[in-house]
Amino acid sequence: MDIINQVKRYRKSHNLTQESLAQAVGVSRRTIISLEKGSYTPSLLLAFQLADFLEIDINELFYLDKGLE
Amino acid sequence: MRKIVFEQVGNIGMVFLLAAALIQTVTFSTKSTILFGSCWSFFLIWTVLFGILKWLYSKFWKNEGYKFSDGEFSSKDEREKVISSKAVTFAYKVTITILLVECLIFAELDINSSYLQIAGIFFLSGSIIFAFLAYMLSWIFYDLKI
Repeated sequence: MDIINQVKRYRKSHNLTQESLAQAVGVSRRTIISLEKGSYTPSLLLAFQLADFLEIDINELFYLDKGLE
Repeated sequence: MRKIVFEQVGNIGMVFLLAAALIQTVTFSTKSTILFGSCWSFFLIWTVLFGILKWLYSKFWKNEGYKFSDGEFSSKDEREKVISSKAVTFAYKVTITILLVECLIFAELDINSSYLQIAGIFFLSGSIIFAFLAYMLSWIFYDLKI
């Protein structure tokens, strides 16, 4: 079961660049790129930091992909 | 990625020179005198130079997250910590496999006592170098993959 994230969608809706979002949550731009590609699953702390910064419920930003079940 | 390559190239060079210096000492020393050959000078110069370069790297490229004390385990953020963890696991597996193979090779070798020390240094330093290489290559692999 994978975790789907909507980081790219909400980042764009806030008119943020990957670099500015990365700086805001204290990670590298590569980490944001990996997150948006879905190749990296963030820690709980980073997930909360992203949700907090993007002012969105964490359950809307990250959710389980149950499509194949 | 650059910091890992820098650190591991430095480490490999250090181990290579240390092995060469030890082999030189073992080869040319007698029972009454211990000889410290030119390779020891190269080893000491490399170690000091590498230490200075590490310090400069940690001071002037802070945005890469390189720390003098952490060396190859330096990480900029949590993703790089995950990469380091995966790379260590891979390097551990490679090192254990190499050591097991070396045990088998060593058991089969028909060497007299004068070459035993040299063979020991060669195999052990080779294992350390392979471990450094395995860590570096797997770090690069996971950095590109994740």
